[in-house]
Amino acid sequence: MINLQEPQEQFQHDADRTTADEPRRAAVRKALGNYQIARGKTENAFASWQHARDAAATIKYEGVNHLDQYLREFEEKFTARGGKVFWASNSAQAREYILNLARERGVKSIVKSKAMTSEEIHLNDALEKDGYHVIESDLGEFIQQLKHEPPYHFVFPCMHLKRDEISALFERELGSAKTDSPEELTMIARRVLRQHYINADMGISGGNFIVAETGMISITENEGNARLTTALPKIHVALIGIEKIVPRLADLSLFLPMLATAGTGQQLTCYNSMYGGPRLPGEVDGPEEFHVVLLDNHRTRLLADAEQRDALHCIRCGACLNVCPIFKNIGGHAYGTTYQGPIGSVITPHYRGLQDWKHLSGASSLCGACTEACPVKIDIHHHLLQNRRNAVAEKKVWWEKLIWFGFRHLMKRPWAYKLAIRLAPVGQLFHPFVYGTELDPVQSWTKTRDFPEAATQSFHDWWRERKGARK
Amino acid sequence: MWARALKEKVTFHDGCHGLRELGTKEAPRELLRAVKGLELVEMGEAESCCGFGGMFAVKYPQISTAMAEVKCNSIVETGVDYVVSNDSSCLMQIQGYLSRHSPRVVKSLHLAEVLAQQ
Amino acid sequence: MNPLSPNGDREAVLGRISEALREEAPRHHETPTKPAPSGLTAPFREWLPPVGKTRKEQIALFAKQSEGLKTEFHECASPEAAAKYLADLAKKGHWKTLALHKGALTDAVAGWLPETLTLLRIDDGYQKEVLETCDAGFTECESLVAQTGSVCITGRSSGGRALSVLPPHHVVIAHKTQIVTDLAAAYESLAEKYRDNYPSFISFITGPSRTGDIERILVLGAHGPKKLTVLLVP
Repeated sequence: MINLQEPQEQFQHDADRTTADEPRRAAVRKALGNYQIARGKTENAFASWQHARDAAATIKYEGVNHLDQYLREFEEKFTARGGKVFWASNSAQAREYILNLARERGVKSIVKSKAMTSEEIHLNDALEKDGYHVIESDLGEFIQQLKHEPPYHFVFPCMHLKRDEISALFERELGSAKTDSPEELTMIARRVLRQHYINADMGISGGNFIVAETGMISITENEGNARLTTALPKIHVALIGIEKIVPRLADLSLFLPMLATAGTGQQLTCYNSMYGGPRLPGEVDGPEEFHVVLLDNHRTRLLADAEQRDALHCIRCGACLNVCPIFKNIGGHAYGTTYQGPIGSVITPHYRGLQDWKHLSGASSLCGACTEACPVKIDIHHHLLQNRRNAVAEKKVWWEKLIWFGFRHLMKRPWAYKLAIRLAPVGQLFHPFVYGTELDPVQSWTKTRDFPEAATQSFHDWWRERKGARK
Repeated sequence: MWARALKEKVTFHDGCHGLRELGTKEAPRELLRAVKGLELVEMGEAESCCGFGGMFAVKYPQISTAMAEVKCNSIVETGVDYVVSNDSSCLMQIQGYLSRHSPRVVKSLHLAEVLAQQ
Repeated sequence: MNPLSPNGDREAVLGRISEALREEAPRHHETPTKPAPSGLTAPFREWLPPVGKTRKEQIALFAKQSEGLKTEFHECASPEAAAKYLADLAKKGHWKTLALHKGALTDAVAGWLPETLTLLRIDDGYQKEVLETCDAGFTECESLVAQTGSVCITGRSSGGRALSVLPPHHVVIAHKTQIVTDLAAAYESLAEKYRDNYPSFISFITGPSRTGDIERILVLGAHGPKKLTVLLVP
């Protein structure tokens, strides 16, 4: 892989490579085709999926638009039960807090369950640099960690890998025997990880929801690795973005089924757990300490953009990735971001700089499949348009300006438009001389597709003639 | 152009604007079914974007073409001779890809072109 | 970096939030016009998958969901019958040790279990390594959710956090009266029981542990139990 300087150049380069990899594209298409079928069935079991979406959007709107109030409520309830809250403005503060905690408590071994926030702040690198042994326990994340690769999809981290690739990876890294059975591969990982849960003195998790009313965080998973990570080690640290708020505990009775439906097509994922403190008096087990790190890291920048604020309603189900034709064709790594797919293209410019990441909003046909799939009704594809508009308002692109200037003047003058229509077939006589070459003005079209032949008779003329003939 | 009352198989491509912005799914199909001698065959990827998307098609030609490939394979698989849509931009993309890559001739038609011949 | 106060950049983050919220955001959704029935916290439950009204229908739905989830669901005539069922499971699975916690139902069943099965009681603490080698964990629960086929457990009702997830087989025992319609009802009963004193851990278990991470193919027993058995007694 070549590392280019500019994110946009890197993106173009990676997209060239990944779109040429048809076997990988076909595998991703097949996996996501199965998701579509499962999701369709589960959605249909709802009395009304569309009303449920409105209800979910209403609750998220309430939470995000009173974020300060609800976060204070969460903090008060959570600390009253012995939990500790740390507010991090940026990734450095969050990393530093967790590193300090590990140092002070003499931690040696750390087990982690899936947390995209930890990818966002590059927590593993920081911990490993300080000499801690960190192991990812979610199967997909575990595989990606062994591969030294970031997750491909924020819900399905290794969906791009085939079983033989995983088997070869396990053979090399774990010394296991070759197998083509997903079950055996899963059991290999199970055996390896069991000991880690028992030995670890710190468990790090993410969190899907912050519940203000009862001072809890909620974690959704299928494997049980998060449950083990939060049950056995003596310290539990949860790293969560501030936007994950819901006002009431009962709100989860809507969000948990919706997250599962949109995320994987399940009615409910296997384990949905709410954590409201460390081990309390009278309880048999649980961590001695429970720390919640509330991460801002530019989320307040997006919050300040009222027009796009609802992008913070995202519950990270991954549905927009699963239906996105761009994602299906370029894959998750080409984005070069922590959060891939349509929602990633919306939020990354806010988190990491508009000019550096605006190309992701351009790299969309705006088909709207994402908006349709979103369980909390984020108007994703219009946000991509807003990013494009904002990027141009901030920094003009002269050649685009020139093109639109010409287009506008042509379309405003019927005589000019008609003339252009008449001239097009003439102009096209010269096209074959440069067709598909560097000199071709539409080369980026003609390289892979044929250019339409200009009709000798326009639809308008034809229609007029036809009407005359019918009279 | 094919004359009326011919036995023809067509498939319909849902343009994203029609389908998702305007919510038009059944109306064009009803019109097509009303055309004598015309058989409508649904393709697997009817609702998938063809990959045109305006400037996107030339700014990211590799992605746009990959999307067209998926769409057009789905069209060709149905065994039809014509693909109909009510979005001329999609048709430009689909025809452009098919005429370069399709193993057999499949032509694109605008819904208006089909209906106007009635 | 300046040393931060123990709770971090609290004031700065909260300050940015309230500053950001000064402008109102547009809504892209329809706000439900129907007001929430008084006292009920979940007005949206009518949009979720329908659940039967009678307990019989709800048990039937729980059984149907269990089948889809690959949970083994079994109705027993009495705690004694449940013990017999459990003893059969132990025999078939060649269990040596069953871990369990104190409780009215678990105790009622434990008395009938064969002496050849070693019981590990975890109420006064346990060693992680020992619990890990047990063949099964036997727990009570808070409720069974008909709509989703879920078992609601808490740290206080079900022997803590690990008993139900560390051993490879989790056996749950519940009274028929513990069947509730949906998640909202499960939360309501928790709120009623615990008021402001919730256990530190609440979990909805929906089937045995699973993963689809490899080629999206379902595999049971990823990290948690490979098997889940729910026994229902009158």
